[in-house]
Amino acid sequence: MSLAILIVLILGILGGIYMPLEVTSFLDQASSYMLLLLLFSVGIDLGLNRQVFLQIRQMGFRILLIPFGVILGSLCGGGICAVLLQMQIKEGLAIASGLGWYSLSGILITEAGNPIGGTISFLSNVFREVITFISIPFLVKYLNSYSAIAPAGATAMDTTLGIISKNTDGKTAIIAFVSGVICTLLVPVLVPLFL
Amino acid sequence: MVKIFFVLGVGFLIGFYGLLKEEQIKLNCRLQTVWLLLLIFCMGVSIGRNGEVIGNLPTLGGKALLFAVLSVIGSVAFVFVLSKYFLKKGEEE
Repeated sequence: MSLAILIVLILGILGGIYMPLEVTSFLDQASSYMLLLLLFSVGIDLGLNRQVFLQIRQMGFRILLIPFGVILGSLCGGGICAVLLQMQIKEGLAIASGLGWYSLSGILITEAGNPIGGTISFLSNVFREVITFISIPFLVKYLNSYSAIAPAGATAMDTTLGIISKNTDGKTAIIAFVSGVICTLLVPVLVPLFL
Repeated sequence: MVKIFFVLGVGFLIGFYGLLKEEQIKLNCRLQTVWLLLLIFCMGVSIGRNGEVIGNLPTLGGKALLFAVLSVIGSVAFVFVLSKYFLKKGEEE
C-alpha cells in the first residue's frame, strides 16, 4: 500500500508539472471533493466499531492518557522543529497536528493558503508512517508496549494497527485502536486551531 | 471545516447504527482505497503545478523528515513516561 501511494504521488507530481494548466487546476479543486468522499468512508469505518466505545468505558478513562501523550508529544516535537527551522511556532504546531494522517493535514494547510506548509505536513506525516513501521519492534523491546502505540498517532486505527498487534498483545492492540480513533477525531480539530 | 465534520458525522452515524449490509461494508473498504489514491494523485498534482513548492521539494522533504522524527520522539517520550507512572502493566485486567 505504501508503495502504491508513493507511485501515485509521483505520477501526480509529474502530472502537475506536465499536464495543461486547465486540467491541473481542475484536479487541484477536485481534491477537496475527494477528501470529503474519503472522510465519508472513514466515518463509516469509525462508526462500525461500536464495541470500541464500550471498551473505553470498560478500561477506564486512563486509556485516554495514551492519545493525550501522543498529541502533546507531537505538538512539542512540532514546536521544537519550528524553532530549529526558524518557522512560525503556529505553523509548526499545525504541521505536527496531522498525527500521521497525511491525506487530511496536508490538504487543510494547503487550502488555508499555505501550500509550502501543506507539502511539509503531507510529507512529514507520510514519513511518520514509515518511521512507525520501522521503530515499533525496537520500542517494544527497549521501552514498553504502550510506547509502540505512540509513533502511530492517528494511523493506529488502520494502516499501522497490524504491526502493533503483531509486536504486542491483544490488549495493547485494542488500546492502540482506541488511541488511533481518538487521534483521528482530533486531527480535524487541532490542525485548524493553529492556522 | 463544517463540511469535514458533516461528512465524517453522517458516515459515522451510518456505520454506528448498522445501516449497511455486509457487501456494502466491503464496498466501502474498497472505495476508501480508491478515494485515497485519487486524493493522493490530486495532491501530487497540486505539488507539481506549484512552481514554488516543486522548486523547493528537496528542502521541504528535509524539513518534513525533521518534523516526522521530532514528533515521533516527542510522542514516544510522553507516552512512555505517562504509561510508566499511570498504567502499570496488567493492572487493568
